[in-house]
Amino acid sequence: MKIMSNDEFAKRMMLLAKPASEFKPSAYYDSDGDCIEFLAKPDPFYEERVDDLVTVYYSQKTGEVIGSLIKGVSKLAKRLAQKLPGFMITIEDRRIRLEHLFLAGMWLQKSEPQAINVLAYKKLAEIAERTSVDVSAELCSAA
Amino acid sequence: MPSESETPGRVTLRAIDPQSGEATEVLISHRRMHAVAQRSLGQAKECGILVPHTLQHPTAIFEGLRKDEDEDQRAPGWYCYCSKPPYSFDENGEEQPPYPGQVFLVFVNRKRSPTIGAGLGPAKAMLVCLSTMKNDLNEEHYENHEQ
Repeated sequence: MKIMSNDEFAKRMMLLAKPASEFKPSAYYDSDGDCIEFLAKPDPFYEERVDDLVTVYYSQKTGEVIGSLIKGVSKLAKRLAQKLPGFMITIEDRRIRLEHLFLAGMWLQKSEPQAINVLAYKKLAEIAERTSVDVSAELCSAA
Repeated sequence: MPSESETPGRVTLRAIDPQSGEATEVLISHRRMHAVAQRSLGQAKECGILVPHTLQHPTAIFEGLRKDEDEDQRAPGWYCYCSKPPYSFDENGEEQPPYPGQVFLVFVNRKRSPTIGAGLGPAKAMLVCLSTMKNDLNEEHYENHEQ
């Protein structure tokens, strides 16, 4: 297998790139990492782990929450099916609204969550609702 | 038209093997590249320039995760490549000084199953999963874990 050169890879990325002015909030499921990445702004970001489900993205410019990584999506889907079967009624047109996933994540906490974690979940749910971001519900059926 | 360095849906990049220190290969999916590039010129440059830099010139490579529950339940075994790039990029792709007190991280998992890795070359082939992550690991932690 020929390895792509660094220059070629950088050029390929720039060909795919869009200016920040065209950015739209979105959520993307990465099957390699079994995670959903949600980004509400195009700012550069740094991240902080909240718990085994969520890592929060903070803007490097403003420090505000601008996105997150939901990890272990297959495991989450299994737990949702077992513990919160009613969650499935939130699926519309085979899409799940992201804020519902954040709320479900809070409801599935094994122990009493720390206040700081609750704040992070609430903030993420609020941003997801405001930006109307959803993901494919096939993630849940794949579990 | 995919080039020679591409398996269907993936691109092969050079990296340092965490075990041997020799050159090895890491795969990144087109979907991942596309998703990152669509966000901004800055994030496209981070992925296009800083990810290969980190894979090939890591300051440290960590194995496993600090929290067991974060492990991928389907197949454990993450590598975390760390670097301190000499610059960063703003959302317009303009070069900026690096962020103080932060390191650039690239997470790579081991080949999970024969179906994913079939025909991808050596058995050690790995997949870039989370290609542009940063974390504010403090310097002390960072130094103590350097390999």
